[in-house]
Amino acid sequence: MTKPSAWRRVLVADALVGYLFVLPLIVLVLGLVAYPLGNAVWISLTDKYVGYASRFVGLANYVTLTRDPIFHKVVWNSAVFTLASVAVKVVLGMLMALALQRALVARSFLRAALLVPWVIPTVITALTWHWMFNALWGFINVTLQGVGLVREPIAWLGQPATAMAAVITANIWRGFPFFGVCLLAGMQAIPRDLYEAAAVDGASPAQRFWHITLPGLRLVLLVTTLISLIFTLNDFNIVYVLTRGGPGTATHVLATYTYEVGFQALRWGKAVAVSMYPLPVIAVMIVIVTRYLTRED
Amino acid sequence: MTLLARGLSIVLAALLLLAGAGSPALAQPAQKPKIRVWLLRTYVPDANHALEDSIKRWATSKNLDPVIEYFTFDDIETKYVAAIETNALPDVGQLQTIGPARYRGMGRLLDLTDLANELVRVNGPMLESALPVVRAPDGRFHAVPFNYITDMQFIRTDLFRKAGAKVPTTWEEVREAARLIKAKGVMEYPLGQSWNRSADGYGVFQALLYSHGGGWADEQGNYTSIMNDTWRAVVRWASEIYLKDKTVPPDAMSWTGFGNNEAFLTGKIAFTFNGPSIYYVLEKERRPILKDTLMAIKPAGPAGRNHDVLLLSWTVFSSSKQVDAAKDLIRFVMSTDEAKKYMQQSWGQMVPAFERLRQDPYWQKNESYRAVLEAPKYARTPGWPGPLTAAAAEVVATHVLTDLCARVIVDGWDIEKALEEADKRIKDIYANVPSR
Repeated sequence: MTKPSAWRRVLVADALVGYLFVLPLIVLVLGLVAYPLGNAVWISLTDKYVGYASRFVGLANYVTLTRDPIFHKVVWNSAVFTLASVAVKVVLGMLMALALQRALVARSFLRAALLVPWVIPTVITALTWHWMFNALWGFINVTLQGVGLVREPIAWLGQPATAMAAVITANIWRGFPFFGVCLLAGMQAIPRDLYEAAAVDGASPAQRFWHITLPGLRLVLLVTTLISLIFTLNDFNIVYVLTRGGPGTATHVLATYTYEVGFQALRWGKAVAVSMYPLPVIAVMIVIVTRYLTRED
Repeated sequence: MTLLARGLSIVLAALLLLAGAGSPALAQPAQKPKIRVWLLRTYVPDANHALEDSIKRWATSKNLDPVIEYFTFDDIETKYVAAIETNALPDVGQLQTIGPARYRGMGRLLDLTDLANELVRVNGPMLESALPVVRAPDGRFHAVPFNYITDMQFIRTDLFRKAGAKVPTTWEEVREAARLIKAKGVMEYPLGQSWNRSADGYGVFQALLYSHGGGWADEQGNYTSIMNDTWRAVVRWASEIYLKDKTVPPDAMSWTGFGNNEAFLTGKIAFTFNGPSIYYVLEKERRPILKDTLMAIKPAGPAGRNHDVLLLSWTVFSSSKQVDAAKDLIRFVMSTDEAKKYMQQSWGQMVPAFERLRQDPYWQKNESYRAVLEAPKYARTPGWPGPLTAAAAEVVATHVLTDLCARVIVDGWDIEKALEEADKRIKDIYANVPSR
């Protein structure tokens, strides 16, 4: 009779210890994720104006945004900016990883060098590109005019299409090493004997890439793409420093518009609603990837 | 494992208890009371140092510990907004033009009417143009003026001479001069005017608009439609310098706040509108083009000379626990001696709003300094001819005015369509600004 009771005490004590260890994580998740998110959702349902008490207005902010032509433009810009940036980053990152894996000399140096864009502060990146794109004395125009490719300076940041291309370029430059590093790590996890067997069977490099490398990188590619999509969608620094969302609203994205509505117009309810709009899309992406990963496991 | 885990948790709990219980036991040296002061980091380090030095001397004499923090032109509103929502406002702070109108309605600013009257007795009357910024419609002061940072017309006199152009005194002459300089082959893109998302954009647009007699509010401060010929003429002026005259650098619409400074300082443009910071760099660094640079008052329009304004003011926040000290600090830095010290370290950047300080011989140094002194007389606040209200401030802060120009220049909209969009935005702002 005494034994089960002793066991029970031990089990209860174990459970308590378990809860004790999990407690910090629960507190962190509740305090740093659930509360801010819940609070943000609540603010987006109010007419919160800086300095004044908020009043519940239901979905009014979301409805107002559906009629806001600037918001429409912002959503479109964000989609173009995010999808174009991430697509090119995937390709460049893959090329970087392949090149680094095959590099025979100065491999460590090349790895470090290609990581530079990723590790330097984003503001420095943006300012550097800002100077390079300057119409009158920027590196790109001076070079193009110097070699006689163009006669008139191109207003890279002064026209909608080129300004969008410019902010995308800067974002790609900054972000592709992230893909490169992740994909390189993924490549190194693929067993070498698969390549050797394929080579013996006469598979060409392209076939080996298509049938071994790419399937082997599927999971890494999926996760890095998802993370990059989220980061790029929320990018503020590059757009703000390079163009402030201009010219006009040509490069205004969700992050810069949220800032403008929240900190310049002081309308926090509406600003938070702006930033909440992409949340369902991101949530769906996360669910899809998580399910996929779970299935793979 | 169970024993180990239990042991670890006991150690962890003990450490937490020790950390919690230990801190009060540590002996703290007696500290001076703190006073938090927020200042604008202007482009003139000498002036910033002079003000900081002044505050520190005052604090020493009062046995206070001053905590000085800076914001820049770009993040002034951001910093205040964050502080308001987190109840972290300082005791004393500098506000930009739209600050008093925005924050007094929130009940964040103390009534400083007595202090304002006191400063008038010491330094003479305030300029008329300062009153709409610091005085509420009910006649109470919730801020007191510090200095104007005026927007000026910067002229490269050598290039103007070469082209046979005269210093513009009207907005039409601005276009004529730019066209002439271009036509004479002196410079392809002589006019550095961006309608961007900075004060260089919306500030100049207001000057252009007010000089034509246009506005978006009536004298009572209520919204009034902008669908009229005055606005059409102003937007035509603003867009045709790009689309018809092609006298503006092709990427000027994307310039940030320092785009025109850079362009002027590197000799890429012949004239621009900017705060006097360009002149400061030329003087301080003794650049060769200083002798060929003139600062002039902004041009007039059919309705006269009506500029935009950047007036820095002092305020005391209602959350302050150091109200008397905060007022005393303002009294000290605005005393005649201290204000003059600051002014004379400002390289002609900071123009006093009080008459007696304005009469200082410092401002008679040259034609450019005299123009800087003169300019604030023509200053008009956002929302002119009505009072400066929170709604008027929001119109400026959300770039409605420059987005209007961008719609025509960048997006290729016709003026009527662009005006309709801007009109709707202004109407929405006035309808939805809280008056709780």
